[in-house]
Amino acid sequence: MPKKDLSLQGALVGGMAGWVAEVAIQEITGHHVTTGLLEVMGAAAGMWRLDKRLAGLLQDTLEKAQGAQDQDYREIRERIDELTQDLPELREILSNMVDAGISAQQA
Amino acid sequence: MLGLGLLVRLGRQVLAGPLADSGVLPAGFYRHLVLAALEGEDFPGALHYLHWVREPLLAQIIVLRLRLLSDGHRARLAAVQDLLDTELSAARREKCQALLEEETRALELLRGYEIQAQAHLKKSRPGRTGGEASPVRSG
Repeated sequence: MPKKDLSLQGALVGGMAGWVAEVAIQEITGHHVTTGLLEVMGAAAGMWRLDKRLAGLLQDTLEKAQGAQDQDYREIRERIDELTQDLPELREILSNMVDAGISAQQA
Repeated sequence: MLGLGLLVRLGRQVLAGPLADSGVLPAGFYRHLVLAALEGEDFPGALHYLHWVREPLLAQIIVLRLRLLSDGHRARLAAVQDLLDTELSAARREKCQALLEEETRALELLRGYEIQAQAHLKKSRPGRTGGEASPVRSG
């Protein structure tokens, strides 16, 4: 999993979306019903969603590295090491994910 | 509510179109566009918006995915070349030759995208490794 688990940009976008929704509800109903709740929910959802997508993309990349052959985690690790020699951050993240896979396999 | 939905959709289309190409939107929005393009395996699209993200990790993911794709094409190219070395009828040889050309073209295209992604990587963190082509991926 990526080291950075939360996204501030996502929180800002979500918070903004929450504010827009709140203003829209206020305009339509004529009442201030949600009192800031939507901004907080939007920020939380935005914070979580962007990094969930990034984590999903990393997982998908790992699956692509596994290829069609039924390789075990050590073979995948070797392949990733070979392909990411000049990509240090990604190499570390994927190594951690593979380590987690090996631990899960051993458990 | 329907009007609000249409307004949101229109807003998103404007943001994803000419306004996004102007580069004035927040980096988080471009990050979303790069992720969306990558989810659809749209490498030219991802590279287009990557310019405004400046996040090395995304560029590194693109480089790795391109290398994985290139590996697959390289394996197919080798298989077709092996097939061409055997006894084949003229029609089959012609088909294999066409396949060989397609795979070669695909590899060239992917190599071009990888060079672009590495250029982004170099720009996003000057002075560090990662801008050079991988020593294991030549050919």
